[in-house]
Amino acid sequence: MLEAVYTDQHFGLVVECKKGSRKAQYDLYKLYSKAMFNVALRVLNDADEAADVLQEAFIDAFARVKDFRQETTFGLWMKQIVINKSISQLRKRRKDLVSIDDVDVEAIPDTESVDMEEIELQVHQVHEAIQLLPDGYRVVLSLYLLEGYDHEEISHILKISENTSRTQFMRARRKLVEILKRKGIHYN
Amino acid sequence: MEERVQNFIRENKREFDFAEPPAGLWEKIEKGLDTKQTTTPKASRVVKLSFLLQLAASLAVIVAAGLFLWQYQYKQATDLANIDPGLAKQQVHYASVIEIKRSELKRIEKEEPQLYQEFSSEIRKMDESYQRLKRDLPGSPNQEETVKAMIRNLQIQAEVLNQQLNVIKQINDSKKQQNDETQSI
Repeated sequence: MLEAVYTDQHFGLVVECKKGSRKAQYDLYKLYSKAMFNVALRVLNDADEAADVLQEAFIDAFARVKDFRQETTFGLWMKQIVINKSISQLRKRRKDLVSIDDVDVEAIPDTESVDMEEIELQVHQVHEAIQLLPDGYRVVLSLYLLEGYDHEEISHILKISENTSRTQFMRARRKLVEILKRKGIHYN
Repeated sequence: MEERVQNFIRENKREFDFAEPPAGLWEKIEKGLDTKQTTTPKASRVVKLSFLLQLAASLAVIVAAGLFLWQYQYKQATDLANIDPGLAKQQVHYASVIEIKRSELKRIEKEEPQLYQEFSSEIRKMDESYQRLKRDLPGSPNQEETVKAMIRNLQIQAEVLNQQLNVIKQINDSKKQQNDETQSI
């Protein structure tokens, strides 16, 4: 299980891809397109834009695969390309990716009702709530929790400080819970 | 509650991937690849090799047998996770940090070609010594030390990239300032 993280199980496929094999390209597309589409979708929150980014990312990746030194797995490398493209697409739409919430989150008391603790969380419900987050929150939260980047990496991806990444994440998380609480009323 | 939601998302990570990419996307990608590959690879040149071929064929058998054995040992040794999983994790971490920073650096290639050349050659030199360490790893008498040296090298690469990116930021800032000043005049 652990080794899967460190050694790319599709190493050979990437080697074939470097030689220009269309079959290997297709196989890699089949293996990674779904995961990568979801990555783009989480950043962009728009299926059409995510599809365009995905298309561009794969074409780019295959054109550049010769330069890929396979120090990391193809999946991680590809993800980086998809995320970079998604972020710049998002920036075209929105200038500032750091959301400023007028509410000072630190000041909000943590009112945890007992009922809330007992509500069973459901993936689709949490997913919907994530989609309702403002762009800046959604991106940091997704990168941190779902794509598994740490704040140092996020700070480079988004060109913000590590600290900003951290506070953005904390705020996003709080906001997410707020949304879930509001929705919880409907679900009960 | 916040912790709980966070853990819930982490634990169910995979289930958040439920959207399917649109059908027909591969065809579009293929088309894109075809237009990009207008420069078809050159047909391999045919050279008279009959004698050489015979020699090569017999050599190949010997080499293949040797290679098989060697590679088996090599694979065992180069899998960093076999040497030390903790170090392997660090290696992956730094490698991906460096990958991000490199792509950042690449952005200045057009605007500041000279600076880019200078910066990337610094990194290249360090990377060469990293690759050398990596090559030596299977035969190294103290593999753990070699892996540590590899990671130190990656750390330094990341640090140097950081500094380079800082320099670029300063240049950009002062350019911007100059622009602002000229504008206000």
